[in-house]
Amino acid sequence: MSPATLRVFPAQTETEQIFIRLDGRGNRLYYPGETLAGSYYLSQITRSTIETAEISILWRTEGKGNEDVGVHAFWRLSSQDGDWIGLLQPGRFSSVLPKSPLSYEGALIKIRWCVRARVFLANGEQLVDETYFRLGNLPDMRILNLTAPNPADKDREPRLEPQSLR
Amino acid sequence: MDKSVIHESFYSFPESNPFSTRFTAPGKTPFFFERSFLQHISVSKPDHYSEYVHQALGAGETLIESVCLQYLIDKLESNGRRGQILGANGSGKTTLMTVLKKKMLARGYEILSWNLNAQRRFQPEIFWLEMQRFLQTAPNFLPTRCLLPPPVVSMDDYRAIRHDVGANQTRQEQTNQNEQLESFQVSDDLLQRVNHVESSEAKYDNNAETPVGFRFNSEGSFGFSKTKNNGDADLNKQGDENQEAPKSAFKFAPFPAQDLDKIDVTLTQDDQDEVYDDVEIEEEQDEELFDHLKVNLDFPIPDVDALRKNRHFFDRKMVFFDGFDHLSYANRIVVRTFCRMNHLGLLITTHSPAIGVPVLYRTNACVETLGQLMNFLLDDSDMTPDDAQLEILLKNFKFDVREILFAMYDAFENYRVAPRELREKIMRRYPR
Repeated sequence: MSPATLRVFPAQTETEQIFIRLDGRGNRLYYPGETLAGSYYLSQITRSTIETAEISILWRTEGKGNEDVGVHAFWRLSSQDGDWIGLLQPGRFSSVLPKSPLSYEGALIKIRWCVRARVFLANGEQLVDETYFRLGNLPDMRILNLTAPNPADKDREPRLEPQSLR
Repeated sequence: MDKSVIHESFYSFPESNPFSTRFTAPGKTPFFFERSFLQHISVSKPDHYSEYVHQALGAGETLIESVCLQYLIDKLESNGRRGQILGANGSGKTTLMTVLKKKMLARGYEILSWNLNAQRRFQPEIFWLEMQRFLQTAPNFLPTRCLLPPPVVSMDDYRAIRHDVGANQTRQEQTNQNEQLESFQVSDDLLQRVNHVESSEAKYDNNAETPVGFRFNSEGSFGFSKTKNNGDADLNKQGDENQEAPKSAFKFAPFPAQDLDKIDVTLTQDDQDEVYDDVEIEEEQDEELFDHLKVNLDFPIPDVDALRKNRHFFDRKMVFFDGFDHLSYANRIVVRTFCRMNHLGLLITTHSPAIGVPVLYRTNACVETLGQLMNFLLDDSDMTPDDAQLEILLKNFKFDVREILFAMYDAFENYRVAPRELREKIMRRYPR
């Protein structure tokens, strides 16, 4: 391994993980007004004590522009405040999903909903896991573009061939 | 619960684009230095190199990044916390500044960040207001009171104002002393009797004759007090008349003058330097020295701790200005002069060299650093384009890595029908 890729202290080992499981039909598709419920597990966190655990349901944008984030629901458990954060039993969360924004898959921008669990350890490290789900059933705009390509794109040469990634 | 076993329906869920701004924005990726820069450090500073490597073992970054960042911070500090990062568009200036900021914040610096670009123009009112807030906690700091209009305060003005403030305070203290002396009137007859008692060394006891109008008071305040003593007539009412007073009470003076001749202190003031820089503060002699300075200087000096805090307060204050060349010529001079006058550190990023600020680092995109960036984003060396492709990319996009990442974003969006193995590799780093 080259020194450039050598990381002395990895942020998260293979054994220390957070798992999020969403209740529902299995396809992680939810509709506005529906209740999103689930549970999170903490696995083999033995390096340090857990100070805080945060669970949030949020949406964020992805694309070429700046990233926007909106938090729909947020729970925070702190051992200093007397909250019990157990490793043996899963924690539960539940919230009614809003009407908007719906999940969107476009070429320039995407709107993604996710459940994020973060655990802050006493030694300053944090473990993060995110599980994405869909709110609404909007089609993938990229597929629509493929089936109906824009005629104006014929004259425009691609700046980078997709095959270069292969 | 094993994540490596993924159900086939999982792939119907769209994956994240690794070249979206969420993953490529400054601060989200590390800054990749060239290996030649590491060699330059090992040659130019061989003594510090092993120390850098030793410190890098405990850092969270990669070895090269940690060593180079520590070298740059040391270089910045040795240049008086002034430096500029030079480079073309998309060469990583902002990324390096963000990484440096994170590192310096961990070292205890306080940083005011300001960035300008083609979409964001300079707004002086907001900038100086933020600067005022940033310096609000400065103790006894003059420009916090005169930031608006733009606070270009020359050293002569600074000294003149300090002199006036000191003169006013001295005059005020003198007035207070006179008031207190007036309120504490002792008659000549009383003084004669006191001198008589002292000269004869008569032992003071309850039976001795107590001077009229002069009685030691152990409970109430002795001397001037706005709340308790209202003149000569009320002095006796404060204490117990039957209480025994020690002999030293007669030697009491309300405002004793200190014997300052014993302290030999010479204060030199150079016109080119800050006044406080000439005052060497040592732990051993601070008390006596500052008692002397408080009395003899023409401007007031705060307490020892306050002064020490004052001197070191700005050693940890930095201003990070991204896009310094977007400023007008006048504003460049104002910002640079303000930071220099007030001992604030200044780190800027520009396309062309700025006058008066030493060059800290020159960023340039090359195949080596671009390959490391692609490897980091794709998290797989198999998917990273080879050096020939990277060189073509750099030439086609005029060595602008930002444009290359945008093009890769588009390529990834178009790249839908990928083999399952390839998509699995992407899934490991960018789960859906």
